[in-house]
Amino acid sequence: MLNRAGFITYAVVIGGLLLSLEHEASAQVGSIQGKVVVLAQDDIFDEILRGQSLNRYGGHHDGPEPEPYLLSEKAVVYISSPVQAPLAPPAKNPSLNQKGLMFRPLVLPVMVGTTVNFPNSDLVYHNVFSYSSPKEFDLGKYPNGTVKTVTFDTPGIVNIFCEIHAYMYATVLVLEHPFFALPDDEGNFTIPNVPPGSYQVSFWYGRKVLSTKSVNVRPGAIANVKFSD
Amino acid sequence: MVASRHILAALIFLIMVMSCSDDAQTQPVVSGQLSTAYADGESGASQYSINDGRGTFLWRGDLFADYLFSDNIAFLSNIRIEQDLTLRIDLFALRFSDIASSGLDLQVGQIDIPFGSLGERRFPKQNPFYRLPLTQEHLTTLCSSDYKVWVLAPSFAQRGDGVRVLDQGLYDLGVRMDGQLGMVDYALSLINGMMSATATYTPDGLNNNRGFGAIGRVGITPAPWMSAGVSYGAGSFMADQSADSASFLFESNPQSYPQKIIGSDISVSMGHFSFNGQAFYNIWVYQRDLKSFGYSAEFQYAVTPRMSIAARAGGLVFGEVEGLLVPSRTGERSFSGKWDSDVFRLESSIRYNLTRQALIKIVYEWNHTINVGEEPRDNLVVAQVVLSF
Repeated sequence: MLNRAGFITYAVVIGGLLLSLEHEASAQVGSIQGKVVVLAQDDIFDEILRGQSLNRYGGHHDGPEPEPYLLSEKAVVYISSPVQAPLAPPAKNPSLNQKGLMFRPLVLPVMVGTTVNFPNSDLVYHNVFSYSSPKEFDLGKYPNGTVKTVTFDTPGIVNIFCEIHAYMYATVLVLEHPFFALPDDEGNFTIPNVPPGSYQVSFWYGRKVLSTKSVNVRPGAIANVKFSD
Repeated sequence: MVASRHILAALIFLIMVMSCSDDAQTQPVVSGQLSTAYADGESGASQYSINDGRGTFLWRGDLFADYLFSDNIAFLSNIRIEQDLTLRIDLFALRFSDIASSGLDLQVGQIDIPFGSLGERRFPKQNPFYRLPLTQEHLTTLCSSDYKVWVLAPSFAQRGDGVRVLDQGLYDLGVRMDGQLGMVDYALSLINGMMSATATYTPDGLNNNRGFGAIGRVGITPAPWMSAGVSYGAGSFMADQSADSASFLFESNPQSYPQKIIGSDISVSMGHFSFNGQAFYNIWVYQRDLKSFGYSAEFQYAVTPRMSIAARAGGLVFGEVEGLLVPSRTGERSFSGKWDSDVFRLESSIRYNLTRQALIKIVYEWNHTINVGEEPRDNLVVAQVVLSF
């Protein structure tokens, strides 16, 4: 039986061991940090509003009102060159919502093998589909409250549409790794736990890659990169 | 060329309105659909036979040029051109949405007549078939050039010189009001012409019709997967000139010869399956009432993300008339019996989306004319490519 002093000694030794392991692990990886600055006027939301207003056959819509995209819904920074690391997709499914006759977010980065939820939060039917070669699918028409899922098992760019509302559009960026980040509303981002190496880092904004830069990630260090349009 | 003048005027108007503002949200939106087809049909003496049964290429363009003036004022237009190079303006309307926050929409100009639920399915991309439903296509024995019923000379109907019960795309000049109360939606329109014969115009562009056609539809959407509606229309279906020349008519005032039509429609869609059905009962008030009943049922199923199949059945059943005076070689004769031959059409199609903007479809059309001595061979196969932009 372990007495009190023995227990404390045991806990200190185990705790120290764990801390040193964690320190050693974090010392083996680095991170990419930076800021994105977009000054140009974004007309994606205006296009959607025009599409909704000029719709001739859709009837009235009593669901949620459309709201402009936040920066975190339309911008992604990600490593666009190969990364050597054993990785697994996340346990929790990310969502690409249909709300206010819009897809939210506009761009969704996922790791290959990830299953994405497609909930319908509008009071009308939607029919989500894609003809993109990494993942062709057609979820059919489904109503409010229903969640359909798609597993993205091939890397690439998957353009998503609604068959009923032609102006609805989104992109799923299927990456081979989890090294991507969504900028906050000030444009700051961090991609943590990146294995050391030289990489290409791309800035996706709206419907396309806006720019790509080279970074060198060193163990235990932060590599800084700034993107602007 | 009257049509060219119309198009020129339309384009000038479009340019004017589109130069009004440079606000990002009020930009013009131009889109459209282009289609080309190869049709190979049989050569029977029938209005459904294309190019006398000789295989032929066809094409059609639909240009949608819209402009949003503000959140609730929009200009909407459809301009169509086909292989005969005749330009047509189907839709040319100003739409005022949610007037005074009442939920009411108002359209003025060349409007989409609110009868039934054809909607987007009139355009090649959304229409799984080549033609519109038979109910919108069939030319009856009532001849459009003299408004006489040529039942004893069926070549008039066979070759397509008759009046349609529903006039293809269903557009006319007038005003339209739309609204919604919970799950109920409604639309009411007042137009120069009527659904069988949209308004005719004198050379100076004035309306030939006396009075207006009134058409309305009440719909209900109890669940997102289903909507249904009832439509009604009444108004004169012939112009002054036609009535005056139709000397055998009992009266010359065309308002004495209205069209009365009641219809119902239903749309159901779930998952990869959808169904559209429509039926109507029509009366053309004439020497004797010319009655007809029409129906159409259409199924679609998406087999894979890119491929879908569809089938449609449609028909027209015509009423019997007693002692109708009809033109013949020797003058006029009394006629009793059905005033046109019943017709039935079965269509099937397979569609494949090459891209989101391009699709190819192959359509087979089987036509059956009932109660004729020798049924014309008039079945049709069409391969069509549609590009949308």
